[in-house]
Amino acid sequence: MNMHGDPTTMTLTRPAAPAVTTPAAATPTRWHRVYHGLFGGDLLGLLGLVLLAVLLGIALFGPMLVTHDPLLTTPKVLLPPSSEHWLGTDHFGRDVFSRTMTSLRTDFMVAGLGVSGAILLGAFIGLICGYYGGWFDDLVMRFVDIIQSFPLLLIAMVLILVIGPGVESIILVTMLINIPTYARLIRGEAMRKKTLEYIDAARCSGATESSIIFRHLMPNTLGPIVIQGSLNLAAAVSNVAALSFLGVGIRPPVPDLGVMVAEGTNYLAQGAWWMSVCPGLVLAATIFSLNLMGDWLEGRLDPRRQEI
Amino acid sequence: MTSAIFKIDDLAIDSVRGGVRQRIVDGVSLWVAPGELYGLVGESGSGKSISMMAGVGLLGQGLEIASGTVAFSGTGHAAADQRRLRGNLARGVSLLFQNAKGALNPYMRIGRQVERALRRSRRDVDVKAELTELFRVVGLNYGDLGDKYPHQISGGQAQRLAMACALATNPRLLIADEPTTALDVTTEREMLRFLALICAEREMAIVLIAHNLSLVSEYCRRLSIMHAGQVVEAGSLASIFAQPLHPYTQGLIAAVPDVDEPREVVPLAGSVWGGPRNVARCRFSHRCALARPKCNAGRPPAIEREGRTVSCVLYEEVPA
Amino acid sequence: MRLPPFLTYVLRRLVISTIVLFGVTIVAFSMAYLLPSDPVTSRYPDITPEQRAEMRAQMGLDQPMIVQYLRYMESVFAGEFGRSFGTGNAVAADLALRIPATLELAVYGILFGVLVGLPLGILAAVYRGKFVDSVVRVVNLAVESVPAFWLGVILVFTLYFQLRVVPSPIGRLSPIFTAPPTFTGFFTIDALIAGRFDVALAALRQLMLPAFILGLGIVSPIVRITRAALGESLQEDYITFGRALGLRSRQLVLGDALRGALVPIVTTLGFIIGNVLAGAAVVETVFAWPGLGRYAVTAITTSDMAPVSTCILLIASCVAIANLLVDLSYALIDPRIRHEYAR
Repeated sequence: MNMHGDPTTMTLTRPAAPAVTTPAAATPTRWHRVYHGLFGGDLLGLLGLVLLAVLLGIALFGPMLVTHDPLLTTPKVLLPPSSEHWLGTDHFGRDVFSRTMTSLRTDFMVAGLGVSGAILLGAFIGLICGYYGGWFDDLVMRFVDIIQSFPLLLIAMVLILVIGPGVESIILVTMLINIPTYARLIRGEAMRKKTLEYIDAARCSGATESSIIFRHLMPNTLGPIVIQGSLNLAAAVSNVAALSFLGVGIRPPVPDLGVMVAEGTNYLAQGAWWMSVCPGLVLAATIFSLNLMGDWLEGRLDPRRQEI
Repeated sequence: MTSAIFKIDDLAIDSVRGGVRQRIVDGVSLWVAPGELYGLVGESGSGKSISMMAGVGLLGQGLEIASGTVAFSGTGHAAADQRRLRGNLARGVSLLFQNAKGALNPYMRIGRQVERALRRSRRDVDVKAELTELFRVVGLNYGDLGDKYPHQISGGQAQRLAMACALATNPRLLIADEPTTALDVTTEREMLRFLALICAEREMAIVLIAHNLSLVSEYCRRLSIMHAGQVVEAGSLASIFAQPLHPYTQGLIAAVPDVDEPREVVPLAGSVWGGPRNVARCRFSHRCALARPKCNAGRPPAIEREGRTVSCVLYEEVPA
Repeated sequence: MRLPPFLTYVLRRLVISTIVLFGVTIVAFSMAYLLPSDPVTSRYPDITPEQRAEMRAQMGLDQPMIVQYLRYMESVFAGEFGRSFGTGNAVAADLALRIPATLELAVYGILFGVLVGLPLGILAAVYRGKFVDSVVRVVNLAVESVPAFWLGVILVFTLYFQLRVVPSPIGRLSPIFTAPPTFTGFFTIDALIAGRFDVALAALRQLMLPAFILGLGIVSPIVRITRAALGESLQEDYITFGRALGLRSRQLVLGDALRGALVPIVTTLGFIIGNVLAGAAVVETVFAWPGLGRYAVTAITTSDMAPVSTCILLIASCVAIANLLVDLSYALIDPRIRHEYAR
């Protein structure tokens, strides 16, 4: 199970892009400049972006792309992939392809909502803590530490006991798990920036505390948030699917990639591989492209990488 | 010149970051005689440290050798063969850094660190005795400090310790990269006096890299002055100071306040790295009051004149 | 009385951990107490209201919350964790069987993860920016992206159902063997102690795939953190100075630089170890491994209170202990931290 993308909380430097030597040319060609300017010579970033765009498109336009009703049960059970059912049918005769498309959307949404909520809440907490400091900061950060040290399953267990299983609790779990990351991030930025001169200048010119917080501190933190966001999103999608696979997350009949794989395992012995393999493949591709993009963003936006 | 212990010829280094290539060291040449205290002066970013690091095979990341040869004790290699040059480090070349505390391994007791350097280069030696002696030479007590960690000693002590490590390998050449910049004035004096002392005692050549011309002028007989990756003037200190030829040198000297002769202090205009970067030209031309079109037409020639070499078109002999 | 400063550091961490754990017991208990679904009706859905009330009284579910909590804490300290409605056994007994299973899996998995991840991370750090580094990064990213549960399913399908290369995923030991007598709870070790090499081998074969998948999930964070931390460490001045002194590259990288990178690496390892009990849940589900993770998951889905709260407590304790050990190790690694409290 994915360790809720934690190593990304320790964003250490990333190496410089592999040295591309323009043979004896003093000024890089136009094409080179665009390529390097946009992607820093990182082909992988390009790949990730393309893949992600495809998957996002699917997620957004999912309902329009399905060939059959994803929830409709038919007697055409366990058919292998064919021209009519591109990825075959499952044990209830439902079209696997359509279910996969719809599930992708569900997973994206759940993970997306969870991470967005985490960003908003975490940023808010971090801003307050970082800016005001004091005992409030100590207390809240201690609390945040505790949440961060607990495994995903644990928090899932606790929350599901209270709220019951289902989509809402999974969104909540995702949110809770990721709040510490952003709280800490924003708090760090706030603490660093609040002593900068331009804040004092703004204060002198009569700006209110809240406007200082929102108009001056926030824009600078956008970069790290976006980086963490995409990496966390990748982990979130993975975790949502994993929890659903275990039966602790999204439950049938709501289509979900993890659930589909779980259902498929029962029919592996009969050779119906498409039920498990296909949704999983799509899931892996989604996570991979999100990770690629996050990695690429980290390389581009990380201020420590900026060379003079 | 054949007896030079260290010689760099036409060293050129490019920075290759993000696919963009920039020349940051452009045709540096110098030579150091055995047992000589040689000065290498330049503003921050003039490429003096990078040149020396390249000369001992410690070129940093994102940098590439474009041309040049380096010779140590008569054996020359292409500068691009960094690996080969690194081999010299264990056999006769040592370095000293500006950040002494940072140069020491924070996880290891300092006695052991010096011991490691010692064992690396000298096998059959009474380690304990040698260590005690090394510490004594740099003015420290092995018994007191041997078991301590770097964070437990002062900056001055750390610098001495780094010196002990450097001397442990019994080098013929020591490259001291701004060893005193981080020290206070008194300690700085002590350190430089010490350097001059061991230079003479051990007949060990030292390349003293500094950005302070007056500092270098007290201890070095010969020096090179660098600007933006080019050597502008090099040779005997006496002749350079008596009559600085290169506009940059003149500017440098004019910018230093003189206690004995009160005069107007004129700082240099412009910045080191202004002007086009990847064009072969004199890299001082954009700051030079005497600049002419010829200055930007190519790398300025190195002209021998009155006991030094000056790289400036002003001094080109005009055919009669 | 003045304690050695480092001891105060340790004690402080201990106190905080204990407080946190107490908090966890309260949370665990009150969560279970506020259960929306009733353990009785979830097990016996057709029960009548009177029978339900009777059963609840029997189980002591009608007492006030505080009383139930105190009773709960009493039993915790007595080593009694209640009874599972799912298995019918005492939770303690259930755990006694399952913890060694997960432990054995975890140990092999972590070993694999570290033995593969650490060298790869070192390689990527040393050859930073070069081809090797790019390859490691991409492969790591790919491995990280593949969901463990899916990989498990795929591998079981291809390697077992199709190719019959690995043993069937039915748990720790194929039914034709009997479990070895218990010394450590590790089948592989116990079998060796008992001299039954065939059993040891069989147990090892059953472990192969699940440990591999578990380990794979560990490889990614380890490669990431090692690469990043060692990469930074290698840029430090003292490494360059070491080179300047002519010290050999290998010694500098593996000795000096790695030491400098140890703090973040150990932190990550601590996090991994603290999480592994929970992380094993997926692997155990796919491979029918009779371990703690699967036990916990089943308990959640059936709203079985006693096992759930016990598992919460157990996992939280693991995390707390792991964190404590990590904090202690910092002092061992870095003399600056050791001496910071000597002021």
